[in-house]
This record gives sequence, C-alpha cells and structure tokens, in this order.
Amino acid sequence: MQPEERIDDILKRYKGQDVYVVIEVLSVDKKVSRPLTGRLLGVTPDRNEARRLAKQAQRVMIRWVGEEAEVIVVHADCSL
Amino acid sequence: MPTVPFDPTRRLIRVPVAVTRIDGRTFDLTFIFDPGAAQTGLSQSVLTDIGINWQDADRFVRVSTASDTVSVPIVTVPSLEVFGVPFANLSVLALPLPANVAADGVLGFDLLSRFWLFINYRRGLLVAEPMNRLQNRLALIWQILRAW
Repeated sequence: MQPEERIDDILKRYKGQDVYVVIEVLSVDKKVSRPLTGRLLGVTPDRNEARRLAKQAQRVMIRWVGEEAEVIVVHADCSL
Repeated sequence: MPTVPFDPTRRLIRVPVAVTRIDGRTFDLTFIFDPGAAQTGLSQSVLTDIGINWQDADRFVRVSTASDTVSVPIVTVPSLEVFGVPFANLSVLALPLPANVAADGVLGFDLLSRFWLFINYRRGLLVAEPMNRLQNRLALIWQILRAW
C-alpha cells in the first residue's frame, strides 16, 4: 500500500504525462472541499482502468495530468 | 470563510468541488470558475466515472461552446459541495468536454449567484461567502480585507 502524501506532490510527479492519476483522498480542507492528502491508487492512460481503480476507495479523485486545453466557454440557451 | 487560491499566471480559475453519490461515495473534482456559463455542468466522462447515468436522461438543453452548439443532457447530482456549501439534488449539464480540458466541470451562474464573490487577480485569491446570513456578510468583508 502506498504512503499518505500531499496530493499536490503526487500530481506534480506525473504532470505532463498523458495519464489519469487515481488517488484515495484521506484528508480535505472542509472550508472549500479541497483535498489535501491522499494515497496513490494507480496511474494509467486508460479511463476505464482509472474508473476501476477508483472503486477501491470511498473518497477518491481521478485527475488527468496530461496536456491541457486552456479555454472553455459554455452558454446554455434556456434557463432550467 | 472560503478563500480559494488560484494561479494568476494562468487564464483559468479552478476551484475544488466534491460530488457525493447516493451510496455515500465522494469524488473530489476540479471545476472551472465560469460566470459566463449559465448552468453548472460536469464532463460526461466524469459523470460516467462517478457512476451517474447521463445517457438515459430525459431532459436536454441547447448549449453553445466556443466551437459548436450542441444538445446536452441534464442530470441530477445527489449532492455537490462548493466553497464548503452543499447543494442537494442539483440539476447539471452533462457536457462533452474533451479530456485535455483541465477540469472536470464548469461552475456556472446558477451556483455562483448564491455567493458573494471577490476576486483579486493580482494575488490569485478568490473569496466566496454564501448569501444567507449577516455572519457571512461580515466574514466576506473580513476576507476581502485580507485578500486585498
């Protein structure tokens, strides 16, 4: 089993690779719902594999760390 | 009293959001802060990851993106927490975001309009307080002074 680490440190190790990083979240900043520490469950380029790995934990994050697109604009044409 | 730091050198503000399913499993996600988006939405692939079925949705809405206009499903998320405030049974868009969009969803006007907001772009600080109590208003003023 992987040790508990700061989530930012885990993500930094894989930044720029076209993979999904799957992390069990162990502590959270309650004020903003921001995950602080966690345990690495796996690293995979396959989304389905990432989904399977995520099933191991009660609180989890799946983060794409590859190349990033920077712009998104979304507008819904009617109110709900 | 949420003050959320962001990287001011980037052209996006990303904020943490937690989504909890009916069975209690929680997924920690990252959303783009987008006041120009009328409605909050999650990526379709992320919805699949967290086990929310969007393919059988019976409601749809037309959505304009930077490159296209598409019809997207509307689904209900059992619980979504942003800036420390939980929202139950929230209707969200199931957006066809590509994998290389650096977020799991878009935080739009429908949720942002529930908060007082202050952004210091120079320092990279976002202050958000819910608009429900005098106590939150005082907290907002205090947070703005600290983030100035």
